[in-house]
Amino acid sequence: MNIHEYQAKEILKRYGISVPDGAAVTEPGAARAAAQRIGGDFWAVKAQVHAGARGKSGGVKLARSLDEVANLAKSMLGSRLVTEQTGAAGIQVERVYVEAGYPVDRELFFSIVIDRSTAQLTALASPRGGAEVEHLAVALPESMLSQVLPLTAGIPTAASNALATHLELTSAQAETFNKVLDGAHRAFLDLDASLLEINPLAVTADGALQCLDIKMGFDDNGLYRQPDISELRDPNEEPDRLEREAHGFNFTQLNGDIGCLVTGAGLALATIDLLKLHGGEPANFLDLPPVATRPHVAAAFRQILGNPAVRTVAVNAVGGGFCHCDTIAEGLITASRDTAITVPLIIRFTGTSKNHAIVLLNNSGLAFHEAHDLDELASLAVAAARGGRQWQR
Amino acid sequence: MATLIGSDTKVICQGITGYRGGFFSHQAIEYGTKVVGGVVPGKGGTTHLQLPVFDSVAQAMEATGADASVVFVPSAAAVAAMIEAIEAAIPLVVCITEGVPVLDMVRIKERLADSTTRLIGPNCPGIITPGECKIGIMPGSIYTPGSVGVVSRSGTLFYEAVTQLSERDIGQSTCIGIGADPVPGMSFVDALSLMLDDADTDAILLIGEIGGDAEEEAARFIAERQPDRPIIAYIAGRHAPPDRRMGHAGAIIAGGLGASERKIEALREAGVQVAESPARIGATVAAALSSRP
Repeated sequence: MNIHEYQAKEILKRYGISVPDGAAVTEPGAARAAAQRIGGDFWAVKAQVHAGARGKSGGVKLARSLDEVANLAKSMLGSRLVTEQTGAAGIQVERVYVEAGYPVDRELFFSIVIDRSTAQLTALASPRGGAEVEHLAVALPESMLSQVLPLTAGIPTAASNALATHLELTSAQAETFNKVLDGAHRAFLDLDASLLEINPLAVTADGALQCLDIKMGFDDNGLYRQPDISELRDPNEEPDRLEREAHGFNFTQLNGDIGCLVTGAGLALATIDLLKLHGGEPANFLDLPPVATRPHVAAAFRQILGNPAVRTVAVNAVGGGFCHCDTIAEGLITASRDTAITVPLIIRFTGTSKNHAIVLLNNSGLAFHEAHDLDELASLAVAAARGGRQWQR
Repeated sequence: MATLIGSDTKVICQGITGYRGGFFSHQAIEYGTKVVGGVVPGKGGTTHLQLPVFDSVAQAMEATGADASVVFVPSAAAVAAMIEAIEAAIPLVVCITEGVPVLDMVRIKERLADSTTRLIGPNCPGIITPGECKIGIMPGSIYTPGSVGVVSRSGTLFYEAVTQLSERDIGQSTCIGIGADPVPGMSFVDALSLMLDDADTDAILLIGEIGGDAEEEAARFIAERQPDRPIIAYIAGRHAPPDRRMGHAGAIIAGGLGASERKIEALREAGVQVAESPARIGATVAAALSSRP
């Protein structure tokens, strides 16, 4: 689960990290009032969306007057922001953050992540931060220093010194940096974070160190013990998640015409690959978790059928573990009682309860074509989508 | 015996009185696994499925000689259950439970580094040596005894691949579902290393998917090790829908890894035969076995 910049800054303040004065607002008048209260001679107006690369896409702008703050807020609020990280549809801006402006001398990058390949908590730092940091990390790998961090609070001096030296900090800046490092580390461990990224960590014209942008993400598996973090969830940012929680499956719309209902994420990915290899175009990615119940399956089937582009539905179920083919069959039959099925249904079952599932389907009157292996599933589905053969029971 | 488990392996179940623990222990017993007891704190001295229940893993090991444990407790208790098993120095722990926080797994990995215990999972189907011992939730009926080792991150794709092998009368030595969590106990490299040391394994099938860099690490390991037997792979997700993301650190730490093309390329360069289609996994293994010198 990700949170907004303003929320991340609130959290890190509680861990002793100083951040620029700012306020999150939802209308232009409030933006102007916030800037007036903050004072100074310029401000940053920042769209609050769960995505990076905002600066390059008009999601972060500087204002030199209170009127300009209000105008920028007005143009951002309600618009859809599209960045390199949002996908083509972009994200609707519901809130902007108005923040004291600082003239920037240098932009640094600092992050704490879990390195999957080493299974270690790892700090990353680069003296060349900012919007191009990813490209720079590839072009100049030596610009990025990584340091393993301990799993209890307290940073070893060797690690903090190495990071401060790599960031080319003065001793006064290093003192501030050590507070940032210590606070960020404690916050990460306390709150089951999965990502903490300060970019830019800016050296300002007067030589101070400021956390100008902060991103935080959290491990979904840790949320059960983080009630305060769970409350920060923004449902507008996670439409897929809402669907998943409401219906009990993962669903992503694609551009094709073959609806896909598959058990398990790995098999769902493989089914999409298979259809593409056969020249088909999947209409969706849908992964039923092993614990899916009959109503989950029925909801999944209805959702697929609700897409007008769908010309056939391919069901690929491998029974095993907690997943039984007869549960899938029952869900399909349940949905067929209240939802008209006007497209050919291709079903491939294997594994636990396969035979019972086929008996249930045969007794239900639901018309379907049985495929006996993956290639048959794909070739039948592709033929059905093209309407190239007779689709009678 | 094959890899890690065989007909002599004695298994205890942590959480045997729960619905899943009980259901799958019963299935394991029917398969022929030597399930020798269960562990449920506070229920020591009782019996379940006609097996003795103990308060702790250490007590269960002392009383039964168990050398493997399977964890079925709910996610909030799974970390404590795994740590208890590691502290008792049981040789093998298989954690089926899903939803374990990743920072807890980083802590558990630290403990495993100083321990002789091997952990499979969490959030995995488990391990099976067909015809001898089944520890986990996989359907025993699809497996056939034989000489191909299988290791997979995905669960359903694991069953799919094994089904394709068994349909072609290609039996399996040991099959391990390592789970797809970001920080798993056992990695592809760990599993490959064990299977390459196993005299009963003549070929290894690796089932990977997009995300992380476990497949790239496996490719590096294979290139260095120059294995004496064929390794076959299938990697799912070539046409996966793109993920939304936030920030740069994830991409920087992964160093551009994670895409299926990169994984397939790395494995092929290491000499692995990669199946193009998920429908051709069994056929690719069959071809590799028949073209052996």
